[in-house]
Amino acid sequence: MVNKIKVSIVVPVYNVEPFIKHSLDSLIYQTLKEIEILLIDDCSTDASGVICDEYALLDNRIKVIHNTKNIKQGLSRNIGIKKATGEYIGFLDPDDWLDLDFYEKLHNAALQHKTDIAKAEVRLVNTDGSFVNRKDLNNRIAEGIKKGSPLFVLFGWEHWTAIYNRKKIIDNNAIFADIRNGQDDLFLLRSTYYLKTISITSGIYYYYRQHNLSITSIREKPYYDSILEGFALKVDFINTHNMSKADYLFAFNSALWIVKSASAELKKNDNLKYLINDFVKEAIMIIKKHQYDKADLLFSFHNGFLEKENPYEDQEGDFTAKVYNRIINIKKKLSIFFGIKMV
Amino acid sequence: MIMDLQIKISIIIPVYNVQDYLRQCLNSVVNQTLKEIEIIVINDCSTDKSREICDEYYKLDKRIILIDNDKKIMQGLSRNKGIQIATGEFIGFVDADDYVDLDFFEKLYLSAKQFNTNIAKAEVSKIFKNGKIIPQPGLNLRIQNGIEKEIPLCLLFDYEHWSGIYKTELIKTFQIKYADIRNAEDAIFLLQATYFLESITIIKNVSYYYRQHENSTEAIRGEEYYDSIQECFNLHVDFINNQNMSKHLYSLIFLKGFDFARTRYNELLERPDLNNFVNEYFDRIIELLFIYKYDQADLLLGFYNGLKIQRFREAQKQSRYYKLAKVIAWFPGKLYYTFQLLKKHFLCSRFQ
Repeated sequence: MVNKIKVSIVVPVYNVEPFIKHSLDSLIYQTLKEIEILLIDDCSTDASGVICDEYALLDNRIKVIHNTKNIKQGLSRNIGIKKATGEYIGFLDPDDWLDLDFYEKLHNAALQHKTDIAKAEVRLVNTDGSFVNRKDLNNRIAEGIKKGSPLFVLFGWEHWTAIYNRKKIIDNNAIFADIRNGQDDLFLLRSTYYLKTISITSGIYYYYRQHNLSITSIREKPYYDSILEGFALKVDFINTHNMSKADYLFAFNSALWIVKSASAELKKNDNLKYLINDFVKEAIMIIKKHQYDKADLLFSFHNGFLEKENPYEDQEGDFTAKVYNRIINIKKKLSIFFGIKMV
Repeated sequence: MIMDLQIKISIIIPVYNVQDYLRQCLNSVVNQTLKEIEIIVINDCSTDKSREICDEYYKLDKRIILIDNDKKIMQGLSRNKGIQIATGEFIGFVDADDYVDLDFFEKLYLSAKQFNTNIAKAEVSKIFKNGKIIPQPGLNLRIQNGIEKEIPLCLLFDYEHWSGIYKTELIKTFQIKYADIRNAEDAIFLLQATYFLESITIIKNVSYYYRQHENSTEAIRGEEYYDSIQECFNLHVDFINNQNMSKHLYSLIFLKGFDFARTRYNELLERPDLNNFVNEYFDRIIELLFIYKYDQADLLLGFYNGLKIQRFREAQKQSRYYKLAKVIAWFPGKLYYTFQLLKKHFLCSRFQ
């Protein structure tokens, strides 16, 4: 009997011996049985690879691929995307785990609402085992969709909480980038640009473990290089795809936010302080690719700089903005007074 | 009666091909009510009758010192020559195509003495091509308001370096000079002068008349002009990099210089004949940012904050209330403008 595979789950594995069993257990006992599990062992130097093979013997839905050399998470996931055969595709980091009905509910939601993406909620797991619910992430998406914003400006960084229509991912070549950090941002930008519909299911959780071993907490020179690379790729992407000016600015801005906060971090890091001039120089070279009016760019730099520095200027901005804010305030007061919601 | 030979003000006039206006200028200077002045006229290799006119006045008035340059060195360096030989207590500048009120230097001198300040400044009026003279009270108001708010003087001056007199001793000790660039040579002088000479008196009812015309070096804006703007910004930042000042003041002066280069970029965008030059100019402005002395990370923060504001504006524009707000905000301004137009068309003749 041939079961049609409903969801393919891609798990990049690299030196996660303490956590991987927990993670894989939550996969093989999923209530949705028609799944395939692709474990991509990225030349682990501990027992992770062996554990993968053991699990493959236990469960024939598991396929293990051993990379010949270390190619990092992003490219490993790309290999998974290529090998996957399921209707939908999902991702799991080997140090995290899932609710057991995670994929069943997501798959049902995707089918029921006929959407390309189905998304669940996130719980951050602290080192002492306590949870933090990040409901705000989903609320933001729901509110944004009501206002008519496109999905790619709404999704944050939590690419593994969702399943994606595999065919559309492959057709549009929405793959992870070949950079050390921030490959998932690019995947999200690319995939949510093409896969425009989403259904959000609450009550099921992805457990995201925050710990010191994770790759994002080791910050060396390559980390900052990859931030810039990612920024350049994102700017290239939004420059070459159609979107409204407001969306463009949003995407550009959120890409810049990462660079800005990285530079602020670099500034505080005594060992890497010498990098900052080159870092900023390169970042500004990328900012120059800003597609819209370059005069605006200079102007906005000037204003933004001024906002921080100038105690003498009027901080409230121009008259139009003042009047606009006043109208909004009056609207709020009226709606409270009459007890009705005004649009 | 013993005449007081102490020279009170040295007036420096760089001359280059201004035969049409030179007489008016020299008349206004020679006939000043303040008599203890020296007039340093620097002829920068004029090719028209300017030199002859200078000679004419030179013979009539012994207070005039006439200098001929060996080769053309532009206004800035000419004025520097004048500063070198000036012996007066104060220095004033008049451009050869402009003129001043007859009691201009007297009132400036008296008020500078009375309040014991290093700079005294008068009003500025623009002379338009059709002969109309329009006073520019905004310039002085800005300085006055700024001083009330205790903003440093060097942030308040705009371009009107010739409407003031400066204490010669200080100009010489701090070696304040005009820059050796084609345009905007005065900006660096003004920055340094206002930075070092701190105190100022502003007087009313006397004016410097500043002629607007197409032949002046300002109006012909080619690539050379924009090169000198960049050079100007460079000098600007070089100067403040070597001075001890708070980070605050530093950034503000930096931004003032940057803003100058930036507004010229906007201008450049509207010039189809310099189309090829635009990108190059933009690149060069961006490169100029890296001479910022303090934390470079601030530069990124500036871009980020600025883009955030821009994004907010874009989102605002999409809102339905924005149009209403814009109409309300725009209404009084529009009303005023319409009134001005009406006045121009119907009432102008009666007022004249």
